[in-house]
Amino acid sequence: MGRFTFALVCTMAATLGCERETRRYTELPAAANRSTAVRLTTLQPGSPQPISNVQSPYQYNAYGLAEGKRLYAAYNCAGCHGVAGGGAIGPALMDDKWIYGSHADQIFSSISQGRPDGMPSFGGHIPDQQIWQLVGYVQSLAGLVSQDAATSRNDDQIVGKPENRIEGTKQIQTGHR
Amino acid sequence: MAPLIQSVLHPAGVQAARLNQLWWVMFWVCTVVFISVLTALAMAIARGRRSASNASDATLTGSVGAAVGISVAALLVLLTASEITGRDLDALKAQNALRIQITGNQWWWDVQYLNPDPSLTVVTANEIHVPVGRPVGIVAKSNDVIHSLWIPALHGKRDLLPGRQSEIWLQADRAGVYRGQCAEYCGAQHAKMALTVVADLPDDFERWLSHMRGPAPPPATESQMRGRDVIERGPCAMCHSIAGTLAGGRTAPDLTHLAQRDWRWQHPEYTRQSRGLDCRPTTHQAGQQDARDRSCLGGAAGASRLPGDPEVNAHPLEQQKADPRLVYDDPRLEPAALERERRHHEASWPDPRGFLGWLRSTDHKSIGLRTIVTAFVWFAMAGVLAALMRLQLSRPENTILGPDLYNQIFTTHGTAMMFLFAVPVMLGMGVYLVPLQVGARAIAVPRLVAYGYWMLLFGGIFLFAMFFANVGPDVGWFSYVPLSGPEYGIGKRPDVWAQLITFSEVSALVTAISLIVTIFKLRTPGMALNRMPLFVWAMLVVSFMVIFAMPAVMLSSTCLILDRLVGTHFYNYAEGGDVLLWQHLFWFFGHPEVYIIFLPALGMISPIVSTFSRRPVFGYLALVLSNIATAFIGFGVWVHHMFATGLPQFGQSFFTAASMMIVVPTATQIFCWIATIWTGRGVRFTTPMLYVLAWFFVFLIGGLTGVMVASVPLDLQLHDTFFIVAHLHYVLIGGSVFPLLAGIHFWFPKITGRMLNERLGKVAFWLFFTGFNLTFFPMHILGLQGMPRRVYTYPAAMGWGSLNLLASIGAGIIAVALTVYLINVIVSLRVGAAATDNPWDAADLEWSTSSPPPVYNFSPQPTVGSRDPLWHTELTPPFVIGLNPEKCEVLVTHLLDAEPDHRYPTPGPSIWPLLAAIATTILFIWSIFSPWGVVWGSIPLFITLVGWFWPHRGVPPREMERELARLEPREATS
Repeated sequence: MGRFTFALVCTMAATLGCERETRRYTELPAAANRSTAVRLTTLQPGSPQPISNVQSPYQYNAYGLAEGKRLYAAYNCAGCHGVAGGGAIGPALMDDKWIYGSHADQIFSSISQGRPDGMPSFGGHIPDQQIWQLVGYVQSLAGLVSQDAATSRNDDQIVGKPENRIEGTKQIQTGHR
Repeated sequence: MAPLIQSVLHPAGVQAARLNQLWWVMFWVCTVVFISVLTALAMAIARGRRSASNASDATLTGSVGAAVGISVAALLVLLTASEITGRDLDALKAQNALRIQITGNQWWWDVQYLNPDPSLTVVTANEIHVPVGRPVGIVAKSNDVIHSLWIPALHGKRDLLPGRQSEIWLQADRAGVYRGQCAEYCGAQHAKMALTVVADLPDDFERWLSHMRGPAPPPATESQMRGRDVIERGPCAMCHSIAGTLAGGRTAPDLTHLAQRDWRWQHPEYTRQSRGLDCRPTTHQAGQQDARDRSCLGGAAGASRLPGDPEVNAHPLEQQKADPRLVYDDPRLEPAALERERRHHEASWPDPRGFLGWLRSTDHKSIGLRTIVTAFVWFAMAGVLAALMRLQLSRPENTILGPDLYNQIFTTHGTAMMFLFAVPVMLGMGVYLVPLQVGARAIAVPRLVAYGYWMLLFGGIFLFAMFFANVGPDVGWFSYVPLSGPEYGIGKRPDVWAQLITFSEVSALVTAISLIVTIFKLRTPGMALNRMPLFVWAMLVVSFMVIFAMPAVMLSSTCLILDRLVGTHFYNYAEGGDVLLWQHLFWFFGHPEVYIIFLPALGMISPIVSTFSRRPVFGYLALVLSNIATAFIGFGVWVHHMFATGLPQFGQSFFTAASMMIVVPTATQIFCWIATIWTGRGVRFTTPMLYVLAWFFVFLIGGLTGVMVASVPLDLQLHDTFFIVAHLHYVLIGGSVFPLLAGIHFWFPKITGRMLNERLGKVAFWLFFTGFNLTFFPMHILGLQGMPRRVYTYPAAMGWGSLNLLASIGAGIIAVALTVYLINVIVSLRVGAAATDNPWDAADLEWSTSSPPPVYNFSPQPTVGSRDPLWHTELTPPFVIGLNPEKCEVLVTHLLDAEPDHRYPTPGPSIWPLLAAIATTILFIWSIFSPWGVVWGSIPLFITLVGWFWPHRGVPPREMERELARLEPREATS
């Protein structure tokens, strides 16, 4: 059975460092507790500071992304941003234009603080954990999360590519309206 | 004793009372049948011991025929009772009924009392009130996955399918509080999806309804004021509604008049469960437990590189004309000549040694044995999972396992037991025994069998590695969509299940093909179809069933993977797909699967009963035809797994009748074996025989509960409860594992050359028998008391605790029993008594060769002249001659009468099946993560197949000449 053990060990080794299947029902991942100065614009005095590389804590987590998708419908995000983020009276989320930035912390503050001209502030009304889940899902609409972990199609009418088939965009533009 | 408010046997309504009556009719008829059959068996044993056979075969045929006739009559009675109840229930619909709309959600019930005036509509959740004496028509729907609405005290269950609407009619007869629960597995918190039903007197009901129509009363005190602020400003209002406040969410239960609801029957953890949001008062403990950091698969794995073998093996020589005569006076039959031939075989049949040799082996005994051992390893691992489940359920509100882990465990348990243990172990027994029993030197297409074995091994490693990496499937071994589909099957867990199915399909299909070819074309001369041992018949029938059943699940699991990975719409009801399509395809495979497991077990019973009753088995033809009939009918009963989805009356009658009809061939076999024991020369109570006698007891229970659940109306009460858990373990463990353990005991001396210890064997038997009944019998009662399947916990108030504890203790005894069995195997392997060629004095050909058999199985190859060749040696013509002992040849014979046709050199050992299996494994696992895995993964697979099938030169002409000269010595000399 030496072979068996060896194959098992190999498999286990290959799995380390991946967290797609973890299901955090309640607590926030450690990564979410980082506080950063979120920039809403690319304009900076002098030489630009390095871009923050805070990632969504659910970037690689299937359960968090699926919850994000469910909440996107439950909190009626689709009412303004469109069913698959295609945009309606609110800006589209599936394209490569991000008015207030495409980084996880930027999206987090957009949802949490709200933005002028219609985006409500959800901070305090929903738990931070859910905001982070929504951040993950919103990023997945533009192909910014791991395709392995992203959600697939809904049992519903077709509204576009399933999130796990969306390739990441090359050129992210920030600050356009 | 807690009040049984969710019990089938304590009806409180018109419909439930009818079902209760039907239950008692079924119960008493089945009890009478059970006692009669066991009495007949006891009399048979007593008679068989007293005197040698004194009944003629004609009398026996008459008795068995009469017994079958009586069984059919009993079945007709039950069928009629079931029909009458079904029609009565259908007729119980009323015009002036109260209409309630119930919508299932993960994991709560939305309840609406519809009114043409929307302002008078009452919305509540997880609780319904019904007036006593007035019919209630429930319109039931589902918002997400399949749920099943079940209020046992009032009516049977009904599945709620997304995209469809079901109707349930019920009427309460007496006031009281009852409990309903979701019966169909619907995800992580399925266990807590309960519904309180309050049956009020009509006046009380009207009062309740008008009270509910009003909004929540305005806050009176300061603390109530603060409470409303918290709800309206905080997260609560995002999901919940409370009439009269700003809270208007629609994605969680309506909380209006929450304080008036009866909370006693909800799970104590209920308010803290639902979606596991941290807006709840405290964190969800069970969920937290599951959140421990387990990681998962990052890329293709499971395949370690192995050194390739450069040697290309001898490819089959061209087929040659065989010597078509059976000779009695040939000089080649002299003892000295036979011994010379044996030595030739010894020298020429390859028996590769060492680790590499083990990897290359194509000997059916080696592959069969390792299949059996591997399957038992998976059996042990799945058994440990079962023990964990029993530990969790041993007391109410237990927190040893959380829902996430429990669901992975029960799914992995079921999947491994069905796909990695039950089917492979039976096919493995076939691979080992069939060539020996038909007198062949080798199995047909041996490399394919080796490939099948490697696929089984890699599939099992894959499943359990995934389980340990927290990617264990958690959607049930049947993986119903939409729960397993792209929207609700989160992560890669359902994909792991679907690909495991593919592994086991490939393995079973190739083995089945090989067995069919072996049985049809490699039987030794004289073994006409009507002389084939019954185990061989069983394996033949089962192999065909595999070939017809597996494509259905292959198709459905492929569609599932496509839905999940690339977003196709096979099961998407909103785009023209169908959620029931999955169930039809799955059970069209799933039910025959049961017989694929069960028929080989029956095939093992025949030789054991015959050997230990010391007479040829009675009713050979009836037994063979029963096998075939079971296989045919087995493909026509799949819908009985789906009765709760709602069927038209005609469909109900058809599938009930078909499901009951399948009892007839099995009953016939039981009666034939009783007749065999009756007229035998005394039963020898060896361990294998004890298992078989116990089989009669446990399988009868499983079979008779099967008759009960075949009835549609009764099944609506029993479906998806612990009654079914009990039933399926009685037929699968009782029906198949008992004979399997008997078979291991029986053939152990042949396989290993040593006897198993009888004393330890009997200790293990009695422990297993006791533990088995202690574990599974109480589950019948639990099911009747309303405990649904696949729940990871249950409230203490339900009163299910003590029977569950009993079942858990039984599970402990089973574990001890199997440990004793294993110790017996290990000890006997080392110090067991050496076995003779035929230690049990059995009749079939495998007992004519040495124990364990040589690589070439027989030398010389025997021929047969009767069904029991070792008991009728006077009828047995001598041996097969004319095969080239230097060329590893097998004799290919004709299909019906096994007349010699031609010689065929069997392919030798090869590393390619292993390499091909590794390539296939890479393809399968890769395709979970990317559709491109199928494209790029097929390249290494193609390369290995080219290596496998690389053609070789034909036979040089000079060798051919020598061959012909050797073949016809007498013609050459004359």
